[in-house]
Amino acid sequence: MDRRDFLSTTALCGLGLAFGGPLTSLAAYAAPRAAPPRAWEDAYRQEFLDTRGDAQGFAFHCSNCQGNCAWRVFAKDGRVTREEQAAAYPPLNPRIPDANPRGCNKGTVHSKEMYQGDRLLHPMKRVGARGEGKWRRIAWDEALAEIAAGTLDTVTRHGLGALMVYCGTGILSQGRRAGPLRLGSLLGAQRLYPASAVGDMFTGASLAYGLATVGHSLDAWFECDTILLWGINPLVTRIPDAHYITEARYNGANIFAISPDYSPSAKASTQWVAVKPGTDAYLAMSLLHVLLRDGHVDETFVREQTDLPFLVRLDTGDLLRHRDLRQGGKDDLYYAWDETTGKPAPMPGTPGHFKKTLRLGEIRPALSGRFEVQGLDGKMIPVSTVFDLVRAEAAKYPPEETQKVTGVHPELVLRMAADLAKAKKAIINIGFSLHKYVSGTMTTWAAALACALTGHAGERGGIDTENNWSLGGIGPLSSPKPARFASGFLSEWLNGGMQETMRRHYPDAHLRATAGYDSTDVERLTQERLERGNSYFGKPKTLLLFADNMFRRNKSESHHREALLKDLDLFVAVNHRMDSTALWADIVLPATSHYEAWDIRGELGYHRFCNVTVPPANLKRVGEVRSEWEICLGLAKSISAEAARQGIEAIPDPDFLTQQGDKAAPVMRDMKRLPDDYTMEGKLLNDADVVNWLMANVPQIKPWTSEDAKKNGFVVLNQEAGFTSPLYANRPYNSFERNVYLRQPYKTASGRQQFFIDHPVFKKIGWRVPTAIGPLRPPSFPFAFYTPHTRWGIHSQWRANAQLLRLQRGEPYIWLNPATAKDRGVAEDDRVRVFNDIGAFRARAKLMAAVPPGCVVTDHAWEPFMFEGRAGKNSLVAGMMSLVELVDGWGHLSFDPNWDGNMIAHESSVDFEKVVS
Amino acid sequence: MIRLAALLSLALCVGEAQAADPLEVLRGEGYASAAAVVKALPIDPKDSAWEKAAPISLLAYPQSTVKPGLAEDGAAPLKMELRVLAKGRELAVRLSWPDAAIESWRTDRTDSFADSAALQFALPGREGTLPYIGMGEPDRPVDLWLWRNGRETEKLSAHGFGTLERQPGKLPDGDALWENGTWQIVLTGTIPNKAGPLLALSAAIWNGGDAGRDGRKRHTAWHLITFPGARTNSKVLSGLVKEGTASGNPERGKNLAEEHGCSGCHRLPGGEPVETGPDLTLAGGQHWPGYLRRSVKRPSSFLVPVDRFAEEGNLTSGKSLMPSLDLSDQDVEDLVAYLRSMK
Amino acid sequence: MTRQLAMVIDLNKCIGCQTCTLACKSQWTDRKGREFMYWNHVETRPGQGYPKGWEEAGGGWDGDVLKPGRLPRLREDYGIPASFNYEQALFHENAPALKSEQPMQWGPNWDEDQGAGEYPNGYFFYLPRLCNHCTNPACRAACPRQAIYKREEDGIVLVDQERCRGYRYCVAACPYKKIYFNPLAGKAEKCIFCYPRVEKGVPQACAFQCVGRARHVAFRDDREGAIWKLVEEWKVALPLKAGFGTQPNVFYVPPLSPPTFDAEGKPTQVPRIPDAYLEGLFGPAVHEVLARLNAEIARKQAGQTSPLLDMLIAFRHGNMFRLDRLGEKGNAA
Repeated sequence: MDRRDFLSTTALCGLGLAFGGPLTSLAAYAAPRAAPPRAWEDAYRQEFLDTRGDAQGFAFHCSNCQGNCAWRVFAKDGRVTREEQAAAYPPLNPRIPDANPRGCNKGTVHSKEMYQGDRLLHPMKRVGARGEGKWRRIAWDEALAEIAAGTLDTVTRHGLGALMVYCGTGILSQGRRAGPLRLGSLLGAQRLYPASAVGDMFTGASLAYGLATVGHSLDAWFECDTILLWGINPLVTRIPDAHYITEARYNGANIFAISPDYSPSAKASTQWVAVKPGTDAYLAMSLLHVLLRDGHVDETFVREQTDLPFLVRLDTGDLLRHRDLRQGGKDDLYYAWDETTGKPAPMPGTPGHFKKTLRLGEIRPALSGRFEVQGLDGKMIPVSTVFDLVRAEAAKYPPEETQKVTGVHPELVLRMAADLAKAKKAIINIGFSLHKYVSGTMTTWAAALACALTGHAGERGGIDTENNWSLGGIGPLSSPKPARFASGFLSEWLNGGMQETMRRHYPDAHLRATAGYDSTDVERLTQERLERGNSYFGKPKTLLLFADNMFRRNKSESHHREALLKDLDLFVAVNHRMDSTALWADIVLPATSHYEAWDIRGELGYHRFCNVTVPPANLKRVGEVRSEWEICLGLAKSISAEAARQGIEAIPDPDFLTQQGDKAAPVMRDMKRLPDDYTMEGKLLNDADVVNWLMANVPQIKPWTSEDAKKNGFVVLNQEAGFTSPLYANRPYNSFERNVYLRQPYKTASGRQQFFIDHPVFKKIGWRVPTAIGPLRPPSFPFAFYTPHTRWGIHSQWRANAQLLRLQRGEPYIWLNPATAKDRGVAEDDRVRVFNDIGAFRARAKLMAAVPPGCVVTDHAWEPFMFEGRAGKNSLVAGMMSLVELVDGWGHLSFDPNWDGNMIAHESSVDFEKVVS
Repeated sequence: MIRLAALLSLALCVGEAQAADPLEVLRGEGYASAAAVVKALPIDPKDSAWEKAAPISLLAYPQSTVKPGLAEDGAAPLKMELRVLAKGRELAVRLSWPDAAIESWRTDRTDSFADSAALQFALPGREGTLPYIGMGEPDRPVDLWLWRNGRETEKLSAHGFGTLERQPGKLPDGDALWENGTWQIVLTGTIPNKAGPLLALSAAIWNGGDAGRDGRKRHTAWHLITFPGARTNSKVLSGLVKEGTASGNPERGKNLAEEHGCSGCHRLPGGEPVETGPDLTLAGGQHWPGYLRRSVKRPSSFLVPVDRFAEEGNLTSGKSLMPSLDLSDQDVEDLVAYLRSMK
Repeated sequence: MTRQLAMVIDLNKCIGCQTCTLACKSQWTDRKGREFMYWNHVETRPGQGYPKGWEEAGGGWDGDVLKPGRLPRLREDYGIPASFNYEQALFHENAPALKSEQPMQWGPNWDEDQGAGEYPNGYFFYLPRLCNHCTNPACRAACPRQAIYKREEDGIVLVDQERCRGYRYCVAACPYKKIYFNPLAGKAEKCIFCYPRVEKGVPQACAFQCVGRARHVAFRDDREGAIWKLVEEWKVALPLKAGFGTQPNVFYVPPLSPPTFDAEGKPTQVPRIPDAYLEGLFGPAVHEVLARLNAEIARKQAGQTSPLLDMLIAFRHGNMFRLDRLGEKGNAA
């Protein structure tokens, strides 16, 4: 056709044919032609070949997803056409379902994400006010020079600690993450502990084991008789491994899904435990109550593996220590009452004991009883056991009583207790949700105790928070020099001025009544932490932020953002896409996405496979993007050049000392050599070099080589990868086999699984042993607000993906119980305003029978820019911290990767109303 | 498949001039018109050149032979006007018909249908017969130009139900205008009849508002277009005249129909819908007498390829379910006259 | 004799993640006017599903007569393939929220996890749906063009893209509403059971990429295949809405569910998905199937073996697909 108007006659009206409209009457026609011509079938065949492309690579999609799945990536003419799970992981043994085809809905659409309109293509500099949205495209050289100047200005005027180089959870792989880590380390910049910044610390596990991440490879689910999914929804959040749950069910497992809403995982369970939000600690205490009441105690296990037989002074409430009995005695040697000798006996395996084993030898520790021991001054000290204190505390929570709080029928508690006790292998899986309630620490600690009482550890299962592998040899790459490692939650709390929203939302009297402490306690303990000075380095002046969406993530959304930005002189965001944080940057730098750079990830313990990204040959990167390694190399060069211009060769960093000869000397931040240091003298020029280096230097990867990885997209980690057990080649990984079978002490103050902590703060709020704590929810607003992880994103990653939004409703919505919605006159798909005294947001309403009445729920991490007025769901989450997580400098509760806290996310109260427009 | 061009050359090879116009009788019956010749073919429906073409007034009948059709919805015939202009081998046809609303092809809808129109072309066979009106017959192909509002035109051919195929070559050009409840569309293209004096043409229209597509259409009977100055085979002409006329007694035909129980299988005027044979209530408007005559005489001479019309549901046998009636020539003529009265 | 490639989808293993949906989309429907189509999708049941209200949209057989059917509307019943204002929302001043350029009214997963019932006894489960490649396809019968055929070698039902004229009788006739009209191409399109993959020995994208490992693929006459074993031998896989009369070749293992709570919050013995609801989808045999599954699980719990459950567990992902096995009569696929 050459006359276009012939084609474009516009329609003026539709027609009424529709579902509910007229039926088309139909005639049945003849039988098919005997031999239909089929040459046309080639058309779809050609389409298939087109999606297979002309080049193939491998990739994984690890942002803050722990799935770590190997995918094949197909490209044609340099453009990715499609991805498909590699599905090539070898089986462990014939009795365990294999791990294929790991992957999920997000991974499947990454090739769309890669070319989507939110992709950052070029370096840009803001030309308006921060967040105003006015940008100018600039050249890489200009961007790097400007960042270098700002960085040097900050470190020379405000000190090295005023520079923050932080790689967020958008990249958690060992390859791409190495660039920012290495650059920050060389410069002495501060960085946050990401697990804490995002609220993923398992402090309850840390209390018990001195380890935050404990557990199993998730194929271990299949071996279980009993599984408790506590605040975890694997069918939504552990998609690649969820089959082990459904397969375990077919294998006869009893699966209890403990969650306030009838989640997809509850659907797959044998028993849903509908706990009211935030009351989990009461449920956990009732579980202990029943285990102890009904005698479900594996005494051999607890006598040896736990501190339950340890003696506690009834006069001071502290553990009985060596120093209580001997002048100049040790602080870290503890006692049990030896039933054989009728005397207190120092427990082997405690740190102060010369025997570094849990083997009890001749000692038979009493679990229960009141005894007297002679103190320093000759006076008798009344003592009892941790076990008795635990039992006394648990006695306060009969399930018949706690049902009023938790909504859980005693029958269910009995069943869980009985199933735990009789299971050969049982796992209690703790989700990332629990510790975002103030009670999470207690719930998990009590759950750990439940596992201890029933002897579940090693091959018999136990607590599972999140297993990680131990990858050695990375230090020289990511941390060539000491750097400023900052507490995640504390830094964000202070940088964001969160105490203000805490005070506004939580009345002190209410806090004292529900949590046992108030905002003054929080602020006082915060102050103590600051004086200690090893986990907070002040507000940054220059922030080089990689793959982190802190303005989406943080509580009290705009409040935090304004507080942080106020003092920032330079804010650079490096990302592959424009997120809610990059929108506020001074300069944004476009980074490669998952398929465009070489990468490697192997520390995730859900499975034993270390995945490798191999970009398809001749892949064209989008726009002007560069890999994080290349960007950091560019920064190293430009900072070095700028320093040379200013005549700066090196900056001494007296906060860190090195030994030079026989004298301690400050670490030097060498500006002149920065590029050479960064590249290991030219060895590591790009992301491919980094992956090759890691393949060669991580002992757990041996004997595999880069070539093996390139062929398959993954390698299998060897036996050395396990932290607390060997990683056997032919069976699922279990924690603590070295402790349980080899009797090696745990990394706790007691050397055992620890259920008694006599730190003054714990004593003050009555948390020496696991106990219950109520939901904080201030009564000033009627509805509980909680935000479970979503099926549709890894936090905010993929949250704005068009393909995925089409499988939702295209915009943010909240979940409401139909009765709750009706009370507020809200109907399905109505627009609602959710608000409290911290802020408000607007969204659509989705009515769900699965959601408990009295709650406002939304699956989390919608980008604020997806909301009307750009106020996201964190706008009304008040700042809050758990007091015990602020404890620092006591036994195994000292700031490090196993001891940091979480900002509380699920304790705010809200109201909502229908928006009439 | 046999293309129309080949057939034409076959049909016209023994052409011979005629002094008097034997087709005059068909003009009188409304079965034939002359094309006007112009120097340039218009595309715009408003072009003044259309004044030169005599208006051809035709009724478009709801398709009633196969289901889904329109007849079962009780749709009424629509009055159409055609004007035909010719320039050598090129033809421009303007079709006008009433349609209360525009429906166009929508790429954002799955349940809407576009107002459409088609022209079907055929040539009389050696005996002056015309192909079956519904997409021709296995050895009597038809060519088609299809217009769908908002969609590229198509050039097609067919040789029976379900045989429609796109044809290569330049697509029909044209323009469409909807004004005051009337569509006026122009389709122009090349007909493969270099010297042809005669072209049979029929039109079909689909109303998007009635979910019009496929058999959910209205169509006219064949109409002959003659081109001035061309020579025509006399056998063809006399055959055509026979095709277009019927001399029987419709009253007697009606009685015969009742005697033979035709309404047992066919719907007849005033009768109930019957599924077995084609609905005949509009047969007189849809078909030429010639086709009706053949169908009555030899039901299997051309079987509409629909399961339910065939013997034992066996379509491939080509044998119609309709029994051979023992009819005299007069009976046949009377029945045809009766059928012809159904319009 | 037509051989028939078939699929069993285990609803106890479907986790509703939609990986299959998107695997199919990137394999076939993210282009060429198919953007709104989901040849494979997963819908929450109970629910209106996709297209919205498909169960009430007619089609299928009443004996040997086709029942009339309705055509789904793109915006209202399928849902538009929403496009988003990235450029405007993210790279300009005074930017609006990121949103769909045309507001969505429905979508393939609109009523995700909504289900039915009242808290705490609400319930839902996931039902993946694709073309059933029926033995007696209503779509094929309704096509006056005979553009739809079943392939002799594998029973895959295809719409001949050269013959199709876009009449959409097939769309109305399919009682599962799993044929779509492509308004850009002007033709009907549907799940092609990934024949270009299958012909190369690669399982269907939805099945191969199913991370829940819920899908088994084999020829129906393959006695060693999961279809024979689950459908004919163990009789635990049932067609969806057999009453439609099309004889589907996709089968489902019906879902178990945790028990309801009584008024005191005590768990009952009654599964929360009402049996009657499942019967409406899978017919009266569903009661027997659920009883069999529970009995086999009890055997496992008692330490006995269950070849049925071992097959459903599917220890090797690769063994879930038998695309090239010999049939009953020894003829190669």
